[in-house]
Formats: sequence, C-alpha cells, structure tokens
Amino acid sequence: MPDWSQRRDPHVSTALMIEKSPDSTETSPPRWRTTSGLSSLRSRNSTSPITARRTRLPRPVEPGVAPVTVLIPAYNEAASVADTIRSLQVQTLRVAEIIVIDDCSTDDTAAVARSLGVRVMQPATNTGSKAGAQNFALQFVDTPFTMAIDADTSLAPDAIAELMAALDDPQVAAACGFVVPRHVRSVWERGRYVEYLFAFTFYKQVQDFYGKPLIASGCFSVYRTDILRAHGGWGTRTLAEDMDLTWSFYQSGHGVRFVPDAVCYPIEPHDYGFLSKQLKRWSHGFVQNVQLHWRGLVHVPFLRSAIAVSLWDATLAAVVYFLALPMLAVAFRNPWLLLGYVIDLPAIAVPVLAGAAQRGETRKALASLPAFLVLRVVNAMFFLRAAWSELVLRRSFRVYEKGH
Amino acid sequence: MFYLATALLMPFRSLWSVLAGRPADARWGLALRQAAIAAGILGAVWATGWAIGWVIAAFAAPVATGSGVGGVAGAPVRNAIRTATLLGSIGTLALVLTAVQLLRMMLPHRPTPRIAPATSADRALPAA
Repeated sequence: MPDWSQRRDPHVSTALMIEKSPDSTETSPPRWRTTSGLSSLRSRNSTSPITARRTRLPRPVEPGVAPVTVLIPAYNEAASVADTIRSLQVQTLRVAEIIVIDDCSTDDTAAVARSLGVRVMQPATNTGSKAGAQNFALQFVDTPFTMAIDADTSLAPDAIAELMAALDDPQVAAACGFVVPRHVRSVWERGRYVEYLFAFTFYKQVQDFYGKPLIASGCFSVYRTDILRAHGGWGTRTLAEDMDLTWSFYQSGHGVRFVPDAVCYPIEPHDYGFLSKQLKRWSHGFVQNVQLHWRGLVHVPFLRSAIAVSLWDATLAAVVYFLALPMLAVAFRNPWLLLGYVIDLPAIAVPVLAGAAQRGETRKALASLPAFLVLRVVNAMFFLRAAWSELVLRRSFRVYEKGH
Repeated sequence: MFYLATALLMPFRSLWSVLAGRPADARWGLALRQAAIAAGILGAVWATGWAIGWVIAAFAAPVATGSGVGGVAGAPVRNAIRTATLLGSIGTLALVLTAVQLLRMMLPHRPTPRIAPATSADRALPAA
C-alpha cells in the first residue's frame, strides 16, 4: 500500500500512510466533515471549503496561551497519536487549538484523538499526502502561527515555548527544533540516533549561525500562518515538502531558525522495510528539490554552498563505498584499505559525544556508533539510486510510501 | 571540510559583528562551542591519519621494502597519506565552491515559481 511521510532533516521522516491515486492532487476534497470533542460529527457536503471562503479574522487568544494552531496529519496512527496529543496538552506554553486531520484512516485514529478532547477533521476522501492533509486544515487556521507535528512525534514539555521565542523576530517565517529518536533499539534506530546527534549538534547549529538552516523539519516546526499561506502551504511537487517550503522561504527573503532547546521525539524506522521506504522518499525528495530550486538557490548566500557540498558529499560517499574502496582493496590485494569504511569514526564521534553528553546519554551514543557506519552505507545506496533515476533516467518518483 | 571551515570561522564572524556594532548577532556561546567541536574533529582526523599511516607502514612497507615501522619507508608513506588526504579534501571543496560561484555569476536570478497561495475558509464547525 502506498504511504507517505515527512523527512525530519536533510537526512531525516514520519508515519503517515495514505492511499494515493496516480493523478490525485493536494487540493479540493469536494466534501469534508469535522468532529470535535467526544461527540460531534457534523458534515458539510456538496460545498468545497475553498468555495466557502470569507475574510479571515484573527482569533482572540486568552492570556498565557500561544496564538498557535497545531496541525497533526494522521493516517492510521491510532497507536501513536495519543502520545503526540498528550505531549501537546502538557506543554508549559499552552496552544490555542490542536487539530488532528484524520485522512480517512482505517483504524481508530479519529476515535483516539476525539477521546483526548481535540478537534478532529476528516476530508471526504483521502488527500493522498501529508501535505494534502495539512493544507486541508490550513484553511481553517485563524491564529497567526501554525505548527506542524507528525502523529508519531512527541515533544519535550517546554518545546513549544522554546520554539515560539524564535518567532519574536518578524523576519523569521519558520522555526524548527532538535530531533531525537524516541526509541533507540534496532540497528537502524541506533544509526539514526547517531545521525541526528551529529547533524543537530554540529551541522544544523552552524547553518543556523549563518542564518540558513537547510530545512525546517516537517515533523516539528512552527510557521507564520500568513507567510505559509502566501507560499501555497505545503507543496506536493516534490516528496520533501518541508525542504521545498524552506527553500522557497529563503528565496522570498524570509528567515528560518533552528532552536536546539526545542526537542521532539519521533518514532524512527525499526526495520529495513520501513527504513527503505523512508530513505527512498528522502533521497528522491532531495534530488527533486535541487532540480526544482537550483536556479534560485545559487543566489542565496551560504545555502548554495551548503547544498552543493551536500550533493557532492552524497555522490562522493556513494562512489567511495561502492566503487573506490572495494576496487582498491582488490587491485592492491590489501584488505587494510577497507579501513576506509570506518576511518572517520573518531571524527564523527566528537560532535556525537558532545551532543550525547549534554543529554546524559554518552554510553548509548558510544554503543550506537557502529550502527551509523551501516546506516550511512545504506543512505549512500539510496541516494545513488535516486540520483540515477531522477537525473539520468529522468524518472521522477512521486509515490508516497511509508513502512508501517 | 566545508562545515569544519565555517565552524572555525564562526568566532571571527562574531568578532566582526561586534566591531560592526551588531553585538546581538555575535552569539559567542554558539560560535565558540561549534569552533571547539570543529577543532576536536580536526584533532580526531589527525590522530586517525597518524594511526592509519602507522598501521599501513607497519604491514605494507615490509612487504615492499623489507623495512619495518620505523624503517626508511614508514615516514614517507605516512607523510604521503596525510598530505594527499589534506590536499584532496581542500582541492575538492575549492572546486565545488568555485563551481557554485561561477554558476551564481553566469545565471540570472530566477526564483523558483511559487505554488498558488493557499487561502483561509470559514472555520470548521465548532465543538459540540
């Protein structure tokens, strides 16, 4: 079954699975119904929400409540959405509204959400993507800020308060937080744990210092609603709508911030099947965004260099892992050359252990380091396939797939 | 290499911000922390290069020259590995960054077309 999700970072994902027809688009479910709390189920039929627009008035928000509407797109997330909602309800800074967009799930996602007292919206038909579900609900947001969070992601209690502080600057269109896998058990989860610690402790903080975080991760980000709407909401023209949106913000002169103290905990792929679908989405999404944005991005300082280096590194890694190292080892009949696969482990360990030490997780990070060496080879394989498919064969992969 | 260089430049950029009368942009804590991490990575790279050079010299050189780790061939092998690695990294980074700058100069500014703006609608029906 096709499914979809959302990358959490340049190398990062979520848990939404939606039936998608080949020609489905992000817009215009002809009918919708919405439910809220425990009991209501009302429907508006025959009229598209898009035809029922009116001038939007900012919603009055009571003191002590952040003027934020939280959107939780969900497809068959009954097992995880409750944790997400509860973590939102115990935030040190309360939010104005929590909306779960149940994208025609076949499980109890809507019932679970309703039982926790949040608003539940449901399009008449499956929207076909996470972006589609978010855009469906975006029409009804009447607060100055909109937060997106995946239905398999929970938050640290002060995450929203930390994130909102970054939006005091009116130039900032979006802010994103630090991502840490909730479970660190399988080799893939451990590899991802190290990957995130490395990226969010080192790369992303450098990017933020220069004012250009590569991506406001879709699993947990907050946006200015008016700017988000002006950019058309979340696009479906690539498989990485958060990257598309972030790079569009930069090209229109808006800023994005990374807030390391705003921590979220997504559930990461625990097996190869789930992981492979996620990596396929991410790698194709990255290449698609480079193809879509490169002419505009070469005029954005720092970002152009960061993206070029990412592209180069990913290509070089694939060549080294799958061609150079094995061929050299065979040609010179010297197995020591295979040390090239692990040669940079000490260098990787420095930022990883620095990040882990702050969280009191040094032993867990040390035990997980070898898993990262496996994961990055798999990452390289998926990037190579995506680049070959998108750039050489010109076959664009457009199907959202998730693994659970 | 790109992130190492940019991280090591962060304190200098902070200093520049202060001198330019924008102390709020300095973010000294972040700049110094990331520069320290970058320095740590460089130290780890150097130590790894030293160790690998030692290992290769110890096991490869005797086959080729009959000398051991401390033999005549050991030091040149280690030096060659370190030098080639450093020059290769700097050279490729310079190549990539130069290519990007050339593209910037050659291409007219053409922002990516936006998606049609999303609009608001009537609010969903209120909670019962």
